[in-house]
Amino acid sequence: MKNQFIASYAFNPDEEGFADFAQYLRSTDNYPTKILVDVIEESFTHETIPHVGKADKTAIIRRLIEKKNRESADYSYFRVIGRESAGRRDDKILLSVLSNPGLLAPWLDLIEKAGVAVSGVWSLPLISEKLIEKMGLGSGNVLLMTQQVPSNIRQSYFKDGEFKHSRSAGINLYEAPIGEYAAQEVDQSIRYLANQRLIGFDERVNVHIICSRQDESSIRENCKDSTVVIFHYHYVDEIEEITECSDIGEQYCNGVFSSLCKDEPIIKSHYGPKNLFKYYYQQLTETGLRAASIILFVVSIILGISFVSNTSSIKDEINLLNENAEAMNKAYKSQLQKLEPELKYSRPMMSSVLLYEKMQETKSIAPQNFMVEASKVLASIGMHDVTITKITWEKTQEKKATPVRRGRARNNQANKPDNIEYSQNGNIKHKATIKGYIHGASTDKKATADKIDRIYNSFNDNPLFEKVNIIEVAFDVRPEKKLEDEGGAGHMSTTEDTKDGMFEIEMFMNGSAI
Amino acid sequence: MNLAFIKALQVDIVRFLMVIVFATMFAGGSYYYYVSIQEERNLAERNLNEIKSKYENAVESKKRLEEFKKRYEKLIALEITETENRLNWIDLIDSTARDNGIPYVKYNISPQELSADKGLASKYPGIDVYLSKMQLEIVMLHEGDLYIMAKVLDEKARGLFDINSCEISRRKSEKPSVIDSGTNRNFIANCTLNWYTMKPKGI
Repeated sequence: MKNQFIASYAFNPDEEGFADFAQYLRSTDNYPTKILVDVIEESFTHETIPHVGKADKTAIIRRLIEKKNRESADYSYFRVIGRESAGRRDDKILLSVLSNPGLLAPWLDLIEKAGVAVSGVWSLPLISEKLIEKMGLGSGNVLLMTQQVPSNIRQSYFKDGEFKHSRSAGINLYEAPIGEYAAQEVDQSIRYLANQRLIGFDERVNVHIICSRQDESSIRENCKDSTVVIFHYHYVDEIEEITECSDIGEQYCNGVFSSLCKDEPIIKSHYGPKNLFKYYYQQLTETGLRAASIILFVVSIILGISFVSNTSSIKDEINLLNENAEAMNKAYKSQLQKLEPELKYSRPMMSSVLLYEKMQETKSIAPQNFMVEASKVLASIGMHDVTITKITWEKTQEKKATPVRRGRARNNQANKPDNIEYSQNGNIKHKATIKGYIHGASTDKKATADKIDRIYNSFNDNPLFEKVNIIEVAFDVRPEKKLEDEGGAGHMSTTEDTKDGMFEIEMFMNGSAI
Repeated sequence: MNLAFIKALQVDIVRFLMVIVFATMFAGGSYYYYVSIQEERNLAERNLNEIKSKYENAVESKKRLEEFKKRYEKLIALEITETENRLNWIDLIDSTARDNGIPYVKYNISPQELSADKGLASKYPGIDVYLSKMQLEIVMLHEGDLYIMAKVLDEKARGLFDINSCEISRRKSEKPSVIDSGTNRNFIANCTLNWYTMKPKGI
């Protein structure tokens, strides 16, 4: 039933017609209404206006119309159809105006009194562009002749499917048959269009006449094809089929255009002051508010119910959690609570034992162990000409490089002995220096240097020792060191072995090797 | 116009506002109820987790206790976990020197301090490690005296210690070597020992 043509009524513009119309409005439901206007007093002109914004354009057009007829300002419509090719490149517009809107006033007054929601006022000639498109007449010059009421003929001119002009003429079928009027009006229209330079004098025009089957013979009789004018005939019922309103069954095209009008979008109609649509806006707002109220109500109910229903499952969960907690608490109390005083010692116990064991692991890093290994090395090269005067030993720990401020990193340098940190994983080692001297150094420096070299090499070659360094040697023949001595045939040596044969060697010994 | 427009719609506007109030109260109220129940659930879950964690910790502590108790008893026997037994140390030092003919022994024990090793607390939680530094000066006949002293302390002393540094130097003498010497009072050893005590923290 939606958007279906139900019936057609005609009301004459007299007292009786107005009364009938008022009665009709009162007796029908207040659905949004569209008004389709087909009057003789509707003019179509082509104007040029400066290429400006939409608001300015509207103001210019309004001023243009108000110059001619102030009342028509609210009953005008314009459409930009192109731009001038030269000069300021002004906009070319098609302007349609209802030159006598007073004609509509009695009808609109009745509509307003009845509180009918008017959603828009449309122009029939402008809507006929849609009909041309549906009929597939999108190219060339087309003059469409239609009849909506017995007393009028409407002719609309289209070029390549675009509406250009339209005129309506009154006829009196009591005086002459429709065919005579049709031929006469077509002739007048073509001459008018040629005068307006909308078509050339020798340009071909296809005249499409939509008529009832009973009028066809009269029209065909009077309208003869010429070299520039070709007549085409369409029956109203065929067009009703094309426009998908075949159930109308009207004699004229009023039903076809009404059907096209009902499909027009309601965003903006062709004519009408804003005040005319107030009931429509009111109806829209009412509907919106009602819909919003219902949606809000339903959503709140759904939300509320979903929250409440969720809570019941959560309550079950709470009960389960509490039961579990109680059971676990009971188990704790029965099995473990009595052990609590003892249990609190478990961690200190573990830490103490582990730290003790870690310390025990490094127990072998002791001076006596170092001295045993050092003695073995020294004994292997002979100690008869060597005296050890001092041994210093310390425990040292390698630490991982730790980033510190100013981008400098601490090296894996040995700790001070006081700072062995058992919490660190750094390798703990022996660090020792052996100080002594070689006997006979004052007389044989070569043999002394050779002996020190052998001591150094013996430690260095032993896998237990690492990083063996000579700290100090009295007679140092290494190229990077300074070397000074005196000699000669008459030279009397006054030095001692403890000075000339002195050496000091530093070394690290791996703790895990013991 | 606007006033008339609003007037014409006043019933719908009032109805809409009432629906808003109702929807807010109904949905808001049920949401509030839902949130409060949710909080109650969270509380119950937290409570269960706490009990669970307490139970698991206790089980773990029990396991730890079983694993370390015997080893810890050894530390108790060594008096590592109690007040340090300095009398025992000095007794041992004196008796060792006397029994083994070590000519001279001098000791100096500094006051006990909390260890400066900051990593201990995280790696070995639950204990405070205290440290007493002992300076030991031994005048020796030979290097074996140092071995004996270290061995006796290690085996018999009530406490835990490590030797951090030692310096063995020859005293002024005609005899040549540290290692081979056999005459009286040839060497002096200056050693630093650290004595450790581990006390349960906060118990």
